[in-house]
Amino acid sequence: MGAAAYFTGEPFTVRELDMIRLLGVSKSYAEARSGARIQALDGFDLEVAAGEFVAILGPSGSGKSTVLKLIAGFDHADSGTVEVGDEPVTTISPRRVLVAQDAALFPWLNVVDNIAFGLRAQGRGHAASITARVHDLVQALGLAGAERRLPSELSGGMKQRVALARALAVEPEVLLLDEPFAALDALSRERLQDVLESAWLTAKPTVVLVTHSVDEAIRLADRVVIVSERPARIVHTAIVTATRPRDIAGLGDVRRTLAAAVRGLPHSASDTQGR
Amino acid sequence: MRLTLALLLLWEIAGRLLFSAHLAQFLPIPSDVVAMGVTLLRNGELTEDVLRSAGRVAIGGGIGVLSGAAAGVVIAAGRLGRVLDAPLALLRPVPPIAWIPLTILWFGVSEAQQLAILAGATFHVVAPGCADAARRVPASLLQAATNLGASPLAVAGVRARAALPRVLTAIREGVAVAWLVVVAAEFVSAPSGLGVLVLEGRDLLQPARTFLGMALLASCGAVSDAGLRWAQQRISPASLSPSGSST
Repeated sequence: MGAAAYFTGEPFTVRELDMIRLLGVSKSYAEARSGARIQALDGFDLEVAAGEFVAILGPSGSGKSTVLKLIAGFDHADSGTVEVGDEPVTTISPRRVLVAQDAALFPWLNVVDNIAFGLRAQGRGHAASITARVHDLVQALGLAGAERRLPSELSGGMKQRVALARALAVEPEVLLLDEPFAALDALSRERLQDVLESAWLTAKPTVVLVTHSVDEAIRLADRVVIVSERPARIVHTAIVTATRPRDIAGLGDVRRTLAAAVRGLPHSASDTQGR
Repeated sequence: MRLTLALLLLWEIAGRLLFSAHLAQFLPIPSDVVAMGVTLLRNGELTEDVLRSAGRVAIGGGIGVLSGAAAGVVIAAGRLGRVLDAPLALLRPVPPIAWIPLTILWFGVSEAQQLAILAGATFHVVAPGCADAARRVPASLLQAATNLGASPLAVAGVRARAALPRVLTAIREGVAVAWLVVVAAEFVSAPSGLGVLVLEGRDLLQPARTFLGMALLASCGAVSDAGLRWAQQRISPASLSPSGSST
């Protein structure tokens, strides 16, 4: 891949400034219809440094979303430890915000009120400062002009912008993104990737982005962690060193190598969409 | 609307052309019904009947709506709710009207008995509707609220607000049932009301009263539904389909 990126040896450990640490995490679910046990994670390890942008890349259904849910505290691991900032994760907290594929905007609140929800719910700051913060985010995320619109009046891309703004408004230490742009057309996706990158560069939260798009991973992440099919295990780790903003067209080698790595994953007879 | 007026006009004309005293005993023409309405309005009976029935629907229905909404929330909330759901489910197939004799036994022939029937009938519809509305709130919405720092109370508020459109639909259905049931309840044991007006048509051999009662019942039902629809539209314009049912 030349100077733009390189594979590291396994395991890749980040010791200093560890923000997120998953050690030996196992998690299984009962499948909805059959009740059969599905092992999403089995002895999964991951470490993320503060302010780092990590992409978890892998085939659909591999258990990547489970990693995010455990970090956010939406669910608990069967075994192993999940720590954020040296403390085990036990509850859901606005310091670790998860943005899902379904924007989950509050349908009765307009754009501005959706974005302000977290700040108001926590009683952070008086009305004027909240309004100012929301205004800044509206500008930064390209939502100017749509402030009074309801979610039903927004396109998919706009909804995801609002969801992102709403998450950024509460200034989380950790931002977790579960394939947030997967349901969007290519143009919207690229625009939102730009928006995400600049928001990250401004506030520097620790970001874990789950994606099945190789391009997205290369475009945005400092480190790309490639996981296998269920139960998810880290099979490769690639450090992307290319300077930002990155031009995907110029990173064809990196792209091909990573796509091949995804295709060559163990047990991967499934649809590897390493686009 | 225009079709209705045209049909009424046709009925009026046909009635006048085919006039027979014998037929008039069975099928009054629209102008007879209007004339009866004017007479009863003048002597105050009509006003009393409308207010009585509307009052019963409002109070009895109101009690049913409030208790139904509370029960719905409890049922949807968790373990205690599931315990309550079973006996309610067993009673569900029993039509509200079948409870009339029992309520007379318990409350006697009284206004309380009328209200009890209406409250029960409305509860019957509103409780499962509200439980369903609460259950259908997407978990992702509640998770997002918690994730953004909302307290458990605030999250409950989010659930309530998210369920509101469907709750209003359940209330509309409950009120519609109340209007249906009030007639039967009044048939059995009420001194006045629109149901009584309908019954009087038979007792007094004045079918115009019956038709008048029916027309007024339909109108009152339409007015109360329109009012609730308006409220629903204000709450969430996007959630109403063109027919007015909640999506």
